[in-house]
Amino acid sequence: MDNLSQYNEVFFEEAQEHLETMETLLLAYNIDSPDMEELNSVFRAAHSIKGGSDIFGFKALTGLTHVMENMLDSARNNELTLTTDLITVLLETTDVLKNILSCYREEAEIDWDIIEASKARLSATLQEVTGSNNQVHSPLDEEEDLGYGFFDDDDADTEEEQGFGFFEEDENDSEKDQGFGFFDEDDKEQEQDQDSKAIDEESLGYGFFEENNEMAKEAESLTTEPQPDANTEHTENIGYGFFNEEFNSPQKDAVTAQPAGLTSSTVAKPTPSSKASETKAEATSIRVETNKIDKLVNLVGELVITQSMLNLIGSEVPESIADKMQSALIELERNTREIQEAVMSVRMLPISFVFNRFPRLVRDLSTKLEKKINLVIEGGNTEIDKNLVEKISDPLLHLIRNSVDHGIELPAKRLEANKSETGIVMLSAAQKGGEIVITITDDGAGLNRERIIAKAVEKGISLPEPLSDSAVWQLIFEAGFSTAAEVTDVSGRGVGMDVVRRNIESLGGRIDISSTAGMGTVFTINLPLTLAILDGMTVEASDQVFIIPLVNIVESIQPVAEQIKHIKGKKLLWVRDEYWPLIDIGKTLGGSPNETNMETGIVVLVETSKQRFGLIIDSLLGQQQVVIKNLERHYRRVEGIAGATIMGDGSVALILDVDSITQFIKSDL
Amino acid sequence: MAILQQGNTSSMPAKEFLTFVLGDEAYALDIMTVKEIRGYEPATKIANAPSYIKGVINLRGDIVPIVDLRIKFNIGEATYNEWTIVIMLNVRDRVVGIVVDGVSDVMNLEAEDIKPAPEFGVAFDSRYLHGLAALEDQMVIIVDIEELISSDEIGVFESV
Repeated sequence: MDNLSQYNEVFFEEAQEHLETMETLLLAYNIDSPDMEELNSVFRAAHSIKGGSDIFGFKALTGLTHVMENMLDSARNNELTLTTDLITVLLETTDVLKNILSCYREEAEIDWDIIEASKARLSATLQEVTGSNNQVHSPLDEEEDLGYGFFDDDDADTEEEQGFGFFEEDENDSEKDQGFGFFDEDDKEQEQDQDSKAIDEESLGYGFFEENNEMAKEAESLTTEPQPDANTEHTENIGYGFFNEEFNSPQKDAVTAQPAGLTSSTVAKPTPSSKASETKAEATSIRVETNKIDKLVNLVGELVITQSMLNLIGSEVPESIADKMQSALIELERNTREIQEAVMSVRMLPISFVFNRFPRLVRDLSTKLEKKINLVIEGGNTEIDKNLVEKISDPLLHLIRNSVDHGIELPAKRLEANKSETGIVMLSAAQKGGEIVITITDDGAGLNRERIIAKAVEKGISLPEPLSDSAVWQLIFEAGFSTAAEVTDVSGRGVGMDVVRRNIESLGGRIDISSTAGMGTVFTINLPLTLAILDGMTVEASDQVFIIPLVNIVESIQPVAEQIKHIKGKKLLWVRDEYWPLIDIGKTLGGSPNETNMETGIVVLVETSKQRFGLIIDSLLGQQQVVIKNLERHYRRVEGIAGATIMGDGSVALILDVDSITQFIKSDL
Repeated sequence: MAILQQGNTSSMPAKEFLTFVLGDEAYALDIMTVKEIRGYEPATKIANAPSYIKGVINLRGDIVPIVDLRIKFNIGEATYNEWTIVIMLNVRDRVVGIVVDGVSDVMNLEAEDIKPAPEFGVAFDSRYLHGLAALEDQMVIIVDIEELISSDEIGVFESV
C-alpha cells in the first residue's frame, strides 16, 4: 500500500472528476427519454471510483459505490426506471461520496454511520423498485432469445465452456466484480439472475460478442485454466470503448493466469471510434502543477520584454548586417508571440468548470424554496484564464443564489403576474473582443427601486445625483447594504453584494445591472480574458509614453479645426454624427500644464461599456503586446491608470484605464 | 558610493545606520531597511501625484515609486545630476526609492547614543524621528524611515 500511496493524489483528483461527471449527468438526465449512453457514463464513473478506491484501500468509497453501481446497472439494463426520487437519492449519494473523498484526502475520521445509512437507503430503494418491476424481465429474456438466435449455436460450439460448469453462474459476478471482492453482496443482488443475460444482450448489441467469444476460446485452449470471465469483462469494456487504468488494473489482478496475448488481442479489436477516443483521451491530458504554469507565464512575460528590447537594438545595428538582423528579429518576434499564445492557452479552461456546479445549486435551492426554476446555461465552452475561473466562482455563486432567492417569485405569484410557473435563470458566457462577458439573467420580479432607495437612506448611504435607475441599482453593491433582516438560509450569509463587486473589480472586471420591474434582472460581468498580457497602442502625450488598451480603441483620427466645438470651455469633437467629449491625456495624466496643440494632436476615439469619448495625444507610437505590471504592488491605485508595463528600453509606461478615465469627463464638465 | 564599514561588529545591541545627506544636513536610517543603493534615473511621472513623488521606475521587473524627500521637506535644492543617489528601501514588504544628495557612511549606534530630538528645528515631524546622534563633530538626525514612508503624509501606501 505504501507504494501506492504516492498515487493517492491522482486517485483523489480523478475520483473528484468522476463524481462531478456523475453529478452533471444525473442532473441532465431526462427521465422521460433516458439517454443510455449518459447512463452508461454515470455507471462507468461509479465503476471507476469503485475500482480505484479498492486498489487504494479506501473501503468506505468502495462499499458505497458498489451499491450505487448496482442500482445504475439495473437502470441501464432497463430493469428499473430512474425517477426523480431515485435521481435525488443518487445525487445525495454522490454528496456522501464527495464527503468521504474529502475525509480520505484530509486524512480525517470516516463517518461509517453515514455510509451505512446511505448504503441502506440505496439498497432499500433498489429492492423496492426492482421488487415491483419483476415483469420487466420476461420480455427481456424473450428479446434475447429471439433476437440473437445465433448465440446459442455459438455457445454450443464452445465445447470448453460446457466443461466448466461454473461458467454460467460465475459469469455475472465475475463480469464486474471478480477484481473487487464483492461476491457476497453481489450474489444477493443478483439472485434475480438477470445480469448475465442482460449483459450478453448488451454485448451482442454492440456486435462484439462473437469475435470476443472466439478469442476467449482461443485463450481458453491456450491456457490450462481458462478465464471465461475475462472474456465477458473485455466484451463489456470494448462495447463501451472504455479502457481506464483503474478499470484495468484490478481486473489484471484477478486474472493473472490469463496470458498476455489475450489482453492485447482483445484490446486490439475495439471499433476504430472507441479506440480513437481512448488514445485521444490519453494524448490530450496531463496533470501539471499550477505553479509550474505560472512560472512559465512569468518567464514568457520577461521574454516578451527582452524581445522588444532586442527589436530596439536591432534598429541600430550597422548597415552591413541590418538585413540579416531584421529577418532574425522578425522570426524571433513571431516565435515569441506563438510561445506566448501557447503558454497562455495552457492556462485557459472552459468556463463550464465553474458553470457546472450551478445546476445542482439551483436544483437544491429551488426545491428548498419551493420554486420552479429552470437554469439555462450558454457558452460553457468559452475559455477563461484559470486564475479567473477560481476567482469568479464565488461571485457567480452569490449572484445566482441571489437570483434564485430574491429574483424568481413563487409559482403562485408568477401565475398571478401572467408568467409561466417555471422561472428561468440564464447563465451565459461569451467572448467579446478581449473580454469575457458573463450574464446572469432572471425573469423574476426585478429590483424594487423604492425599496432600495429607502434601504439606502435607512443605512445612511449617500444617494447619487441624478437618481437614475442604473445609479440606484449600483446602490445594492454598497458596503453594508444587505442587512441582517434579509438573511435567509439561502442568500445573505454575510457575503454582501459589495464583496461580489469588489471581487470582480479586483479581477479587472466590472459588473452592471439592468432591471425592469416585473420583467427580471440582468447582471452583466465583464472580465479581461487574461490577467497577464494586454494588446495595447503605445502613444505619446506631453513627452510621456502611455498604453491604451486596444479593446477600447474605436479609431484614431487627426481632427480638423472645424470638427472641434467648444461648450463651456470644454472641447467636443464632431465626428461620425456624434459629439465626442475630449480628454487631454497630456494635461490630465501627463502632468503637463499646457493643453495639447490640437493642430498637430491626434484624437484616439475610445469606448467603454458606459461611454464613448476621445483622448487627445501628441502622437501614436505603435501597437504592441505588453505585460501588465501591478502598480499597487509598491505604490497605490491611481485614477485613470490600470497598471504599468516595462518598455523595450527598460523604461516604465503607464497603461490607461479607459473605464476610470470617464470620471475625468464628469469632473471636467 | 563608498560605504565604509565602521566600528567593531562585536558590540552586541548596536544597530547599524546608513547616513545620507539632504542639503547640508546629515541623516541616518536603519540599514536593515535598505535594499540597494543606485544612481538616480528619470522616473515615469504619475498622474496627479504630489510633486515629491517623482514617479515610478523599473527595478528588475518591479514597478517602484521614487520619493524625493528634499522636495517633501523643503531641504536643500532638488537637483538631479550624476551624483544624485536613490536609496531603495524595503518597507513593510514594499519597495520604495528615496532620492538623496548622497550617502556617506555606515555607523554603529547603541541605544544610549541616540538622544531625543527637540520638537523644533528639524525638518521632519518628531513622529518620524528616532532622535539625534553625534558623529565626530556632526549631528546626525536618525529617521524612523519605516514610519515616515508608510505615513499618510508621504501617501505612497494606500491609506487603510
